Amino acid sequence: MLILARKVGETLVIDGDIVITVLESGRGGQVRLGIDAPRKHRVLRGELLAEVSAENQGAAVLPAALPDISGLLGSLPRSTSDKA
Amino acid sequence: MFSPALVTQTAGPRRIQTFNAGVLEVSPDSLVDLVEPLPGLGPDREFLVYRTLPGALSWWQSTTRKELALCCLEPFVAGLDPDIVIEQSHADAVGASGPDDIDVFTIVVLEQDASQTRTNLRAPILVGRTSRKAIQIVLDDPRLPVKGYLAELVARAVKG
Repeated sequence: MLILARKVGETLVIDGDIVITVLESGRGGQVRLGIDAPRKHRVLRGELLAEVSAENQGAAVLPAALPDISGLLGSLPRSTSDKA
Repeated sequence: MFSPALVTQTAGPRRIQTFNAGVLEVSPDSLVDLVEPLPGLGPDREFLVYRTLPGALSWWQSTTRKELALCCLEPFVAGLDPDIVIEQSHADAVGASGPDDIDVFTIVVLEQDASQTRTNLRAPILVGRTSRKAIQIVLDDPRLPVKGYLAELVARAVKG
């Protein structure tokens, strides 16, 4: 792991097109970062990605007897729209 | 609205081993290609989407690993109408012409206790209807639960 010390207002540049700026630091150990990156790069909080990964892994473990959820969903009024 | 094919044993040229329905012969439009693998689930990118369940539920079966299968829900088709907003950048990611050219799935965690069965509305899978490309995105809206218990979601939707 590359470890660098930065002050507020200083930046890091990754691959020439990702710029991370330190906006604020110090309050309860929290650091605020600004990230400028092309849309092709997805920026996610690590703990959220870990939570999604854990749920995906949980979904891949199917119970021996599948619960009957179709009846539950059957009580819904059908949507007339495909999207929000 | 994309409807996962009701796969028959004589539907097409590919033969896919499934975890619950034996070997299915399927047409290419029953398959989806993930732009990037699903987080936490290894390198699998190609999945067969088929139904043995009624309504808005479908199975996503890895075409390379019989043991990797997921239950998915189409929340808009089901009538849950979550506040999932699809943007043009999402459409671009799956080669779709726009948000209207995308079908939305959410992964379901099935638990033996049905009350614990839940779906991840925060990280839906988007599928381009014509491109058949897919991606699981993570939305920035904290109102969308990672663990959305179906019983609660249904009760809320019924209540309006």
